[in-house]
Amino acid sequence: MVRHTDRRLAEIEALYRDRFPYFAQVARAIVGDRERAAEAVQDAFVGVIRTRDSFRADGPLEAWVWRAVVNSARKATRRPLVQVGEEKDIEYELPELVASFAPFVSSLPERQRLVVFLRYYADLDYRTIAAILDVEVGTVSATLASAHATLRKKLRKVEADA
Amino acid sequence: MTDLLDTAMNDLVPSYAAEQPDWTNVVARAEGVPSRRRFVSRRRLVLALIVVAAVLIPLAALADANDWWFFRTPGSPVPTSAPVVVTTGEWSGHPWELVAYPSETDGLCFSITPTPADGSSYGGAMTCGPFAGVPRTAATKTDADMQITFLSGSWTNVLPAYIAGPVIEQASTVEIRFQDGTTLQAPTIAAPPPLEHIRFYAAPLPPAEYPADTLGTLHVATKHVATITWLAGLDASGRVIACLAPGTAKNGVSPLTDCR
Repeated sequence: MVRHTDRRLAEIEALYRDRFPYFAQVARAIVGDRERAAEAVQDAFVGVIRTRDSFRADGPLEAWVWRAVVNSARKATRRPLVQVGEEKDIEYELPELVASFAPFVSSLPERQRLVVFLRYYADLDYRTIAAILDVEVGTVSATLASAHATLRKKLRKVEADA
Repeated sequence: MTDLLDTAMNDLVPSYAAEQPDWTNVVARAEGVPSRRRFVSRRRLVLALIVVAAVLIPLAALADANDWWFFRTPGSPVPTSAPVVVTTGEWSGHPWELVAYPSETDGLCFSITPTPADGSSYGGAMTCGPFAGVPRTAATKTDADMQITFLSGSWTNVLPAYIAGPVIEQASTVEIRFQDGTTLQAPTIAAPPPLEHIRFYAAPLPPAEYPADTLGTLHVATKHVATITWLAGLDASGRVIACLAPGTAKNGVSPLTDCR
């Protein structure tokens, strides 16, 4: 048993090292804050290590870990904020077109947003996304198509108004 | 997807490709081992600028000589002289320290850091910006000097909600006006050299602002932090000599008439 969990720890570490930028980018998309996103990933992996014995290997380990990261990021959106002099995000300034487009992404239903983020920023296949979100593969496909249609339409409007 | 959509999505969320993950920290935390050298993201670092790394390299040794948490966070401005502890205190049983330093590129940097007995600095926050009374270097950003600013945190398990910051040296008091019309006054504190030409203030946000049955809840605390209308630096006669109204300020500066 010890040998088994140690091997699992090694697998988790490999995932962490190989995929950290993807975990962090998806977390950032969910959380909207760079530091908080990185923190959410750290928190997720702390939980993953502590509960690794409960992983039943009836699906990919990566999907199980991703689920922890997504949940940690969602939880992080409810944590307290630190505020400085001017009330604006000065860490990362968006291009004008993207800044206009961002609210449309934010206004997508949560499942659509998560599917888009996981597909875009983690480059995950539909099967893995389905496992992460605990939905059918067909649901991922339909959700993504719907999100794409909405975003394309909004983006065309932003472009036309520019 | 269209190329434009690809571009927009790619630009929407910056990459973390250059970020160094900290597996040691994850394992230590998972095992419940307190560690002073935690992953930098455990602290909330807020910078007023994106800094140019190349400028920072020559002074990195100075930063390394001080084991402050913010120097272990990528992007922290390099100091032109060592950080100084401006003051320390305790709010609701939670000790903290206010540390500040003049930086090469970003003017004044200051932080509030919890200093619990276990040595952790989790929950620390820092911000930077050009400030009146702090000498500029050739690399300092060109924004106007601020005369008063603030760093404010909502309630956490390591600190109560607080507000702190620098103000010009003529100010003896800082008055903070909240959206509900209440005010808070905090005396200013002299800083040691090389920051002797500015003063600081630090205060917990008033417990009376929180209904007793919801004390410490994130909702109430966050809401409170969001309701600062203005901050004013007052001289000994009570005259407003520095003002910041966060809702309308331009580059962190407000006319004095916005604070009344």
